[in-house]
Amino acid sequence: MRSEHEASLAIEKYGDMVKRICFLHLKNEFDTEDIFQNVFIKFLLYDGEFENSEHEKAWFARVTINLCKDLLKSAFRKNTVSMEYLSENTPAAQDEDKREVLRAVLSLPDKYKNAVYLHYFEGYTAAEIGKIIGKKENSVYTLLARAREKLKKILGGDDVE
Amino acid sequence: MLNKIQEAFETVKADEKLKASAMEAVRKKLGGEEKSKSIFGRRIAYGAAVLCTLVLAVGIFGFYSVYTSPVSYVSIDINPSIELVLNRFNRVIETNAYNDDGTEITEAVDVSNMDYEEAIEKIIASEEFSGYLTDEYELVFTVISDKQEEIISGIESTQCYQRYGSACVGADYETREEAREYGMSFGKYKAYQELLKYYPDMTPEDCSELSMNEIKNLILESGGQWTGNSQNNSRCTNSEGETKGQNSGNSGNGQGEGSGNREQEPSGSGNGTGSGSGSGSGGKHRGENQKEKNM
Repeated sequence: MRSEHEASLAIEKYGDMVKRICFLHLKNEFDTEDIFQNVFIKFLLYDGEFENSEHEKAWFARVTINLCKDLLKSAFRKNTVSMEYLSENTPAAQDEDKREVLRAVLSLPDKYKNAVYLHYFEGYTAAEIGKIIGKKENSVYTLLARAREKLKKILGGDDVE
Repeated sequence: MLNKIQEAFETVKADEKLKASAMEAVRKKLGGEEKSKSIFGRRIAYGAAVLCTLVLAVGIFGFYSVYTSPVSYVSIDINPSIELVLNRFNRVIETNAYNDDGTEITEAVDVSNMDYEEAIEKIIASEEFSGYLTDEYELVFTVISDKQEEIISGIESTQCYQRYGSACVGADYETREEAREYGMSFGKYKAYQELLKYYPDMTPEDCSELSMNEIKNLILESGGQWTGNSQNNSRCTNSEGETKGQNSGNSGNGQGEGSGNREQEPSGSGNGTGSGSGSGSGGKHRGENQKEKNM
């Protein structure tokens, strides 16, 4: 088992990312806390070695995504994003724009969400994303393209990239 | 798009509360694991050790009880009177002497934990014992046991018996109880009971000083019957009605072999006095019954 110290470091390093992924998939604070904790406990119990911190980070992303998937599969969950949850996590009022974006991404079907986040925020390539979410590189390109389309539609077409 | 999404998501962070709760969970997990490994595991190991020791102790105690429980008795009477107490494994767990001659032997010859056949061989072969194997002697083995036949056969089969033995008979537990009251071996006591028929005033004390041979002669002279004969090729009269080589061609004997068969006990066959009176008591119609009839 890994030590408390290692866990503490990991939480500092990857906590934000784990939170974001949870935010992508889960609809409320409780689930987020639940999964968030479980990710780091899994880390605690994980016996394998990481080649480097990239490898480690990808591991965290994958585990978080999988745990979220499992949770969503296992029970009836609210499918609508609660407004409270959204506003809790986006503090400032003038960030209505940002909230809009978040809402837009959250409204995407699950399989797009991960690709969008991992590519546009974390900066992973399609190949890397493929390894994390278990899809072929080409499939990821397709996902990203389609996601872009949808987001354009929702957000009104500026800043297409 | 890249920018927007980046900016948007940047606002989403893991707050301190969330991180703290995660650390809490981590610590709990770590603490739990250690505890279960050490204290819990240790407790189980401790409990298991105590249990094993208990079981072992009980087992040892149990075995000891079984090993030291008397199951059979063999009385060896010639002049000395010696009693061997056997456990269920037919091993000697105790030896008792009922007269000074006997004490001499038991003190000199140690047969503890030996198989009864070996024990008997050892006693009879001993120097102390040889003094009694004179021209005229009567060496009588008396057996009390639930497995009388087995032990009697066993004794018969020993070399020493075949060379020196005079008689091998059975008796019942009551005989031993009574005999002990008089401080006599049950082998001699049995003979005494027969002797009483002809010498009703004979006291146990007097009788205990007589050798088996003397008792035999007294009985025979009074017209009674005696099991075996003074030559050493007598047979155990408890075997299936064998009467060959019996003394004076009498097919019965004054010692009430009927008692050898426990089934006959209820009919008071224990003492050979009016025993098994040919009533075929007990399911086994052994030779004794027929012999008794002839009395």
